[in-house]
Amino acid sequence: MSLIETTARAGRLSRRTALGLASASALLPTIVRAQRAQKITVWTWGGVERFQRRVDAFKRLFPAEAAKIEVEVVSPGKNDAEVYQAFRLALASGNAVPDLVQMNYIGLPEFAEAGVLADLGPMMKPYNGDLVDGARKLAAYNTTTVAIPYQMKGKVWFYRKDLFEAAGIDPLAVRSFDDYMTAGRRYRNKHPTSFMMNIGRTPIHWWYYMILSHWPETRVAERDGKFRILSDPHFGTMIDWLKAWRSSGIAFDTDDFEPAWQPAFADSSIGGTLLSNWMTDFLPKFAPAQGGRWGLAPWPEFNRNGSEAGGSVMTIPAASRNQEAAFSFAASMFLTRQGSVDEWVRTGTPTVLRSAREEMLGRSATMARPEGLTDAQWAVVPNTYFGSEFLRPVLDSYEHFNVFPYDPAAQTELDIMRRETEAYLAGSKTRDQTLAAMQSTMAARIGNPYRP
Amino acid sequence: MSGGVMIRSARAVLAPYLFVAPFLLSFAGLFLGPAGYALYLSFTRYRGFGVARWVGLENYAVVLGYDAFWIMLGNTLFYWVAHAIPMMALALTLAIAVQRKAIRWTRTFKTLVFLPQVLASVATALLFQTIFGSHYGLIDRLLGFDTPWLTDPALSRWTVVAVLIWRSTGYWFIVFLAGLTTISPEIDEAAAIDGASAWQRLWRITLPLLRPTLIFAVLVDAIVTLRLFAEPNVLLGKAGALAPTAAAPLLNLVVEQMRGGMFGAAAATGWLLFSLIAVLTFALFRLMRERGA
Repeated sequence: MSLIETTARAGRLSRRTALGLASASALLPTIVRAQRAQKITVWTWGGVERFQRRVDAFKRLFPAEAAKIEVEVVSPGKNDAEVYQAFRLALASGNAVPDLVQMNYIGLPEFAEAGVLADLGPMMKPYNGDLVDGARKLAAYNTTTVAIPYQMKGKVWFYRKDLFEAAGIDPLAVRSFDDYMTAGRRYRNKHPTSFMMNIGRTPIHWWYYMILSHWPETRVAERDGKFRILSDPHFGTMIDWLKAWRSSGIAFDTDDFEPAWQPAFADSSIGGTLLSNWMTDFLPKFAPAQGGRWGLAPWPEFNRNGSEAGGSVMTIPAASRNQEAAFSFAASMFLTRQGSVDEWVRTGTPTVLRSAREEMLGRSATMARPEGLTDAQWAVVPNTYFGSEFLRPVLDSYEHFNVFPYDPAAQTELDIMRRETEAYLAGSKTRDQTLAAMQSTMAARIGNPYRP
Repeated sequence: MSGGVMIRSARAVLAPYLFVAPFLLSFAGLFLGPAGYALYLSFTRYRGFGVARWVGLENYAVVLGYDAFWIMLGNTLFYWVAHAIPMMALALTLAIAVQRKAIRWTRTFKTLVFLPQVLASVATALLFQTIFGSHYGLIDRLLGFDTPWLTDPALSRWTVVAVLIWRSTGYWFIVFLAGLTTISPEIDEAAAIDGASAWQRLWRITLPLLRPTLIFAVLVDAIVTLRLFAEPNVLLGKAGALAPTAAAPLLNLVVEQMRGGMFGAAAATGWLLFSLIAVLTFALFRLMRERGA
């Protein structure tokens, strides 16, 4: 029996007073916890499990900080586009605005341009010196720091070492576009049932900005709303390359993530792919029997610079009431050496910090199988599958990292580029018609991307 | 008139309205309100937050001048016509066969025919990807072909039609079977005694009496198909992207515009689609009623 009940029974307190005290005592732990921990809400996509593991790691690595910050993970959509959609709704209603929002860099300009993201400049200042150059680009929009970078999607060429060697192709010796095409033909001559790359009738969306991000001066539109599709020759070059790859016979006829893509890796129909470092997660699962046969190299010189959609970042809405707590959580996990290396160990996402690079490489070289992992599971860990040297080319791709200067209508511009290129590849439009249609459609549908 | 009588009279007048009030309120709040707001947005430039800028009919002009709108509209109409005719014929044939006991084990048969309707559309699309996948698909493997069923628009649109037929036949089969049970067997028997052949009974008795069900089926199927989205996109899209334009339904344009933060244009496209459905439904309704009259 509690003290309150005893006292009430003794008749020294009225029943109402006793009930009031009882209610207060029941609420007390909640009040105390609320004073102790500030609750922040994080939005991510594709389910909460992956991010929740990050929160668990935060509690393990930074117990003092974790005692002050309670993190609630919410997944308002299955992909980044659905998160942006939910974020727009939250901004329109002014309710339930999250404290941290995961974004791909391509989605960031719309919100940064509208001024709805917090300026993180002062908070990021202590960390900037340790960020690799590419990560600093990811943190900024124009000259304002609006994001906490954590995943850089550098351009990496994955190739079958055994098949390339048999065909006498050294990826590092492939420099120009013509070199690449010659290598593709030589590969086909040597391996009649295999291809050096793959591309389908409707090239997957990442090809476009991945190619265009090579040229630092290339952008889709100027700030005054003038589109540059016709005046910048690189847009024409891009569709020429896509068409050449499609029609030359050096590419397996399927797009990334079409049903045939995965089995084509498994049976060696595809022996190479120009893609991004995140493919290290997929390839071991696509072709588990090919462990040790895949090598990584930078893209050939003709399109070595750039990135696949920049990378992933965390942003803090200007309307968030818990900006400091949100930043503290994200900075602990992504901008400290301890958090960043742990992130790599857990998820395979390489660090964006200079200071963590050597530690990560060292750990990679001496990585032992964690307890509880079966032989099959251990075999598809990227470090085991590609060999510990795989990390260096990934980090080298950061040296050529460039973020395309996306504008607030980047998603619509991409949709239009894809649509017109589909027609070009199908032969229903000429090159000039394709480029003219891109430009005129963007002008008609978007107007000035910088003017809401 | 006494007060008690007046109260009873008022109650009698108000009662029906109170009974339908929950529907009317929810209809106004959940449909009319948002629809009216979408109509307003269709005359503005709005990115989903911030200020909506009035642009008059510009969104409608831009959408109607966009060649992709017409391609997707053509695809949508193709999906409707190409699947509706064989599917309705098949569903009706199966229903008549079951009603006339031309098929044994009818319970099992009904369950099997209805089964695709129970499957999630995503699961259905994945199943058909396995069947029609190029290079490694079941059909290509069995026949030794290498056919781009899912990537060549000329073929992929037919693959979507196959999914639609496979998926919706069971539903309309059950509806037609229910419709057939409302036709008195005595009429059919009387016609048979009078010497009418099976074909004559079907053509002169069964189908005319089934006309209300047929009108309902054609109209509802048209409305559902004109708002088609899941099947072509799950079957032909990849890595979160929508189906290629050459095989995309019109709703893709709405989704694409919303994804790009172009809510005014999305609302305009939505209203154009709504107008199309309304006109087509009205025309079909008139046509089928006149034919029946």
